[in-house]
Amino acid sequence: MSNGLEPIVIVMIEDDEGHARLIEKNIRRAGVTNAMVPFTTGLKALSYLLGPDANGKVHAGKHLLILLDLNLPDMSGIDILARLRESEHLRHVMVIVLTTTDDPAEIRRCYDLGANAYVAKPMQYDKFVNAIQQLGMFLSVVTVPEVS
Amino acid sequence: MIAFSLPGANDTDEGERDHHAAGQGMVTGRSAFSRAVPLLLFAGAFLLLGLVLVSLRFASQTERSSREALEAARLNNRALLLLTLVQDAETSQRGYLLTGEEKYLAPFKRAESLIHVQFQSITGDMAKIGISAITVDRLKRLIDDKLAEMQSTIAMKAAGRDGDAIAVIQTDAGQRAMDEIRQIMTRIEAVTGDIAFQRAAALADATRWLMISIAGGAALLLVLVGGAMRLVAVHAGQLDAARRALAEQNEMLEVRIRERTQFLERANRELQSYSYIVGHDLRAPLINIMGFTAELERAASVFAAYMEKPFEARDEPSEKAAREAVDVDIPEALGFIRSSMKRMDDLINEILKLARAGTRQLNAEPINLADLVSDAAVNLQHRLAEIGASIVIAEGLPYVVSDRLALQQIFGNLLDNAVKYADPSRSAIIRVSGKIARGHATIDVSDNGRGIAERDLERIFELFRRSGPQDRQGEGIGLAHVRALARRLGGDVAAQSVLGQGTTFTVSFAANLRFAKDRGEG
Repeated sequence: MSNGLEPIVIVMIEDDEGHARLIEKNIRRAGVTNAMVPFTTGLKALSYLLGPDANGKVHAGKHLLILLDLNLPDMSGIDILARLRESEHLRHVMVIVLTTTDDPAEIRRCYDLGANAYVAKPMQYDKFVNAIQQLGMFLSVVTVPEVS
Repeated sequence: MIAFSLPGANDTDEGERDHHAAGQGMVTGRSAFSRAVPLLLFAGAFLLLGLVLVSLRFASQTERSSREALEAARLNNRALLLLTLVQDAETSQRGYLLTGEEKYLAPFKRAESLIHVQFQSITGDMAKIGISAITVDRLKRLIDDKLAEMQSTIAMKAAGRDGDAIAVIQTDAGQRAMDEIRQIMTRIEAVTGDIAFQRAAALADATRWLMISIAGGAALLLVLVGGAMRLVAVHAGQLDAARRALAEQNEMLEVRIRERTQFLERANRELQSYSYIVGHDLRAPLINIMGFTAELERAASVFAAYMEKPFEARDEPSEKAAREAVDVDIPEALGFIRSSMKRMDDLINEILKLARAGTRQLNAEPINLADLVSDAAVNLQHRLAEIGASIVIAEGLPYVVSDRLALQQIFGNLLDNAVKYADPSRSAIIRVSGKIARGHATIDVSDNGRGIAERDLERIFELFRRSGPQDRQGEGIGLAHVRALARRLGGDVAAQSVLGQGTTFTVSFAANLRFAKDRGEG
């Protein structure tokens, strides 16, 4: 904070409790100690992200990493992504899409809407752990100066 | 999901058979007319021929009557001419006897030479009009006698024997012959006059009949021409109607093919999204099971590593790790695995339930929707009282012929949703109204609940999808079920909503399931 770098907050939008727990466990295991804010529905997550003004100003200048599940019960993750990219303040927030599908059309749509990474929740759990751990490495690199 | 119930198929066939039967009836009616009219025309033509023949007969009768009348008149004339000749001869004789001058004899000479010829010329005709041969002979003898008397007196005068001549005349024989000739002539005149009158009357009669028959013929001819024209018009009309019916049928066929194609495309799309959803939703708990199985393995290996250590090597951190593995990680993993398996089981059960609802045989029966909806409201009475909600059923909900269970489930689900998503800030009022138009019943279920965002209006009908804050119990199955049922009943369901104000679900379905086209599809 002294050098102007605030710690990155990880916002996890995931309706499945089990998935959320697995992701958290693996991120922690990879050594990431950043704060995590979990949401189980799209509406709650959006109201947190966009804030009371519904324009995302509440998070202006903050460092967020959003883990976004596409398959939410109340709305599609794609809608959330689109809303984030519409917001002036959240346009450049890093979004990693997590989903059970590996449908190429859906993957392309996510990239078109500005997803930074797409991680299909793989049936091969090792790969999933790898993906999360790589993510953790990346976060560690960013967060190291802050921690020290 | 995609199943055609057998009775439905049968019903459709029957409907088509009825339609064909009606069509054949119409064709039979037309061809009976087509057969009757030519027959009538033929009879008419025959009658016309008869009239022409009758006219011909009357014409020939007219001709004969007029000829006979004319002949009678001519005979009369000639008989008069004969009488005149005899009278001329007598006048001439008298003149000569009185004066003795030759010049008075000229008419006599002429009469003398003509009388016989004239008599000859009327003999045949007199016989024809019924003057007896005796009379004719008598007339001939009288004329001959008269001529002979006149010739003898003229000869006496020429010889200078005037006294003898006067004496002959004074016998009055000539006078008598002359009187009798006049009598006969009068009779001939009477007879010919009578004949002429009769023939003239017959002529008038025949002419009248001729005119009547010609007029009748003309009228009949008009009727025949009219009939023929009508026949032509009717045939042309039939051809036209047949052509139109064919065109209409073609068009109908195209419309039906289009409908079918649309339906199949829709079914295909639904099947795709259905398998996509099922794939996603079944995969989610499976990922949990796999993930927590790996966690279980990890925790087990941590604990195993600790157990394998010699007792004195067991330090505090490793004991803490082992304890955590046994006390926290393993129960947590097992709990998630168990709940995921239960979730999968629930999902599979719901999918099976939907699949069963899709293949259940529909049973069309007469239903009063007002009763059905109020029964559904009674089932919710407890919850209605709990939140102070009321259900208002409008007058005039229609009667339909449809599947009772399917409609119960549709309205049960919609009313249940309306109660479930009522806005707690105001007392909930749920209104049900409906009508029948063009063979479809359309029922609106309106609430003043929390409403649905516009982007979710279609999504809510998808399996396992829910809209708005996830603060109510539910699996996201009810509306998918309602849509599947409504489509099976030959209709659909759609939603209109203003977020924060309320939602209207509009269910449409075939008013009579027996005539529904898309039965068993959906």
